[in-house]
Amino acid sequence: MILRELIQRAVDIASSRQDTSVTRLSLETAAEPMLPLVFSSVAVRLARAERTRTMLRRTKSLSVANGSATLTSDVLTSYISDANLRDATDKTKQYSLTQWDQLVTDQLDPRLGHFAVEGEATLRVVEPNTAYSPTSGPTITLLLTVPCVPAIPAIGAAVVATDEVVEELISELAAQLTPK
Amino acid sequence: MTVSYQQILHDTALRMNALVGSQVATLATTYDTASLTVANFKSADFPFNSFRDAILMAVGDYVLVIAATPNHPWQSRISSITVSPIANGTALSAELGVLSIRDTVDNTQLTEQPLEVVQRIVRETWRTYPLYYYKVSGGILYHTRAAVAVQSMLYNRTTELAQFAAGNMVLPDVLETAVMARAISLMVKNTQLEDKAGIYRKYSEEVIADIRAGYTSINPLPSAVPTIAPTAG
Repeated sequence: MILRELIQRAVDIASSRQDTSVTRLSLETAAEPMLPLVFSSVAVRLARAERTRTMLRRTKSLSVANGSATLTSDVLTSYISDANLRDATDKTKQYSLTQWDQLVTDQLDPRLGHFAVEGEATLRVVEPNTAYSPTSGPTITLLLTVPCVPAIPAIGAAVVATDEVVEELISELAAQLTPK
Repeated sequence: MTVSYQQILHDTALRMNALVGSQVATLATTYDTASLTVANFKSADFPFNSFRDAILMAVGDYVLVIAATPNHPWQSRISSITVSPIANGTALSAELGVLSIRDTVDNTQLTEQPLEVVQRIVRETWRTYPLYYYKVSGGILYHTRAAVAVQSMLYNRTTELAQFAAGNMVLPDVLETAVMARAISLMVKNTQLEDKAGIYRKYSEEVIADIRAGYTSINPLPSAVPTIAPTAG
């Protein structure tokens, strides 16, 4: 479903719930500004339950430079514990999530690689059998699978999400357009 | 639109007793002249061009009524569609009213909204969901699309004046009698003419009332309408 159709369906539902004094035009005008709020609140709600959290998982290609990579703003870092990090070129490597303070101070299990979130959106990576170093680290491309907020596409592009998530988005947008 | 201005001129001049010929045969010859000129007119009260001007005034009066009557079917007769797409903030040429405004890309009709809403949408360049709004304010068209085509009602006396010698009137054919009647009612110079002109004016006002009511069927001219006899020249 393209984004324009998603908006039109939500506006149709919202206008059917309201009296004729609220015009469809006013709902259409208000719909697009609400999209970031709607996409975010649906993602947070679905992420709370483990069963529905899987619908939000996305695989992202991370460019790790000197042991550090920046997470995009759609990543739900509060659910990083549900993430999986791997090297597509070496399936024998496994990475374990750890706390940031443990990453920089502890003796890490050399059989595993390790990763931790530093601050708000920085991912730190330590390769197997190496210690953390703030000045030198791996420069490598890794794949991170993690729950994310669905991206808001261009108006004529498809919403990249399962049908269930799309229906949740329509329902939430219609609810936001309907006065309480 | 097949009634010529010359036909209305014939209608009007005959009833104003302004055509050359006191004998039937001569009068018939004059009336049958395809394109009347000053030489065909004998009226000392109303020169030839005053007939032309009265007819154009009458046409203008009916055009204004049609333009002011919401959704009147005859508005299409006085409408035109802009050829070049119109950008936001463009001044519109002299118009009697806008019939419709459409997006030139997908042909979606725009909806009138308050000016502040239209201007706010235009300023919010981050919007990608298409909104089709417009407002005409102070003769300037504001809209939220890249380019639109405007169907509007137009009347230009200069254009109709150029048509008068050999062209057709802009109004529907059924208004031929009404235009003639109103033109006659405008050509009043003394008390006697006022009485007779008033009869034609009454009929014209009834036609105007019918148009304002949205009708397109017009009652015929009453049979007992006199011919006005001005002083022969």
